[in-house]
Amino acid sequence: MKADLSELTPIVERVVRASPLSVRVKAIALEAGEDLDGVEFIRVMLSVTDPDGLKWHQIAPTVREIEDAVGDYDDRFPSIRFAEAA
Amino acid sequence: MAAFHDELLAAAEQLLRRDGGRRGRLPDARVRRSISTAYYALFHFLLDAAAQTIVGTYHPRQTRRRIFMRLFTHTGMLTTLNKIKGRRIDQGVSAFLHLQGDAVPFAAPPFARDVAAAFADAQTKRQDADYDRMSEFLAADAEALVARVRSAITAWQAARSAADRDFKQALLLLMLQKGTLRKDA
Repeated sequence: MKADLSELTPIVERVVRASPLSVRVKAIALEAGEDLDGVEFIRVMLSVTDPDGLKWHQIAPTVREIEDAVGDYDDRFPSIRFAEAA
Repeated sequence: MAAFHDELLAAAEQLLRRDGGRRGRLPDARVRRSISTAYYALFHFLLDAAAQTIVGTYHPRQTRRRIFMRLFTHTGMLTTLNKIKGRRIDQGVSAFLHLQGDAVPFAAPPFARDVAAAFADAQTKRQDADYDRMSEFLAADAEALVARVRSAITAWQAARSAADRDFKQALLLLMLQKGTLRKDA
């Protein structure tokens, strides 16, 4: 099961908008990736303000919700990473 | 003596430590090594769990356990864990993972889903951290991953009911089979 990234982006946006992270996330970008063993995954880049202040226990529910929401439409794992918002 | 996975997690955390409260960006190599080390902490934790469950904990069997661990592969473990990480267990393995007569739940127990998602997260990031210089990581990525791996291991260790132990054993056996069962089983 594989969806188009343009279909998955609004799903990630919906989860982020409804989360406590919403005020810090300034941009969301999805990119297809493949590891050396040929396993496909999706890089989900969240550009946030003050990324150094992020703690796992604060972001865990949002990360898990994105993983589940994307998993409903796509077998590729959404690997969530952070970038410093410009 | 600390378990090997604990030593690896401590090393992953040490790589992210800033001396004397210094601020600023950590060297990229330290962030990448921390991500890679966090992945290997979870990898070796699962290998130890499999060896202790399947070979046994009797001390003189240590060599047998270490030889046994070499049977597992990164991809086989990922394939297995991908089948339980979502909201529903993959239908192809659900009968194997549950006891006969039990109501078959849609989802794996939360501790197992946590480990499965942490493993997929750690493996994708570890591959990029080790091999793809185009992928950028912040210290926040590594800190979150180390904390996620630690939390997943703690949840796994705390799950000790008879049903939890049974699910773990079946999952570890499935991991040995690289996540694939014979279709006529």
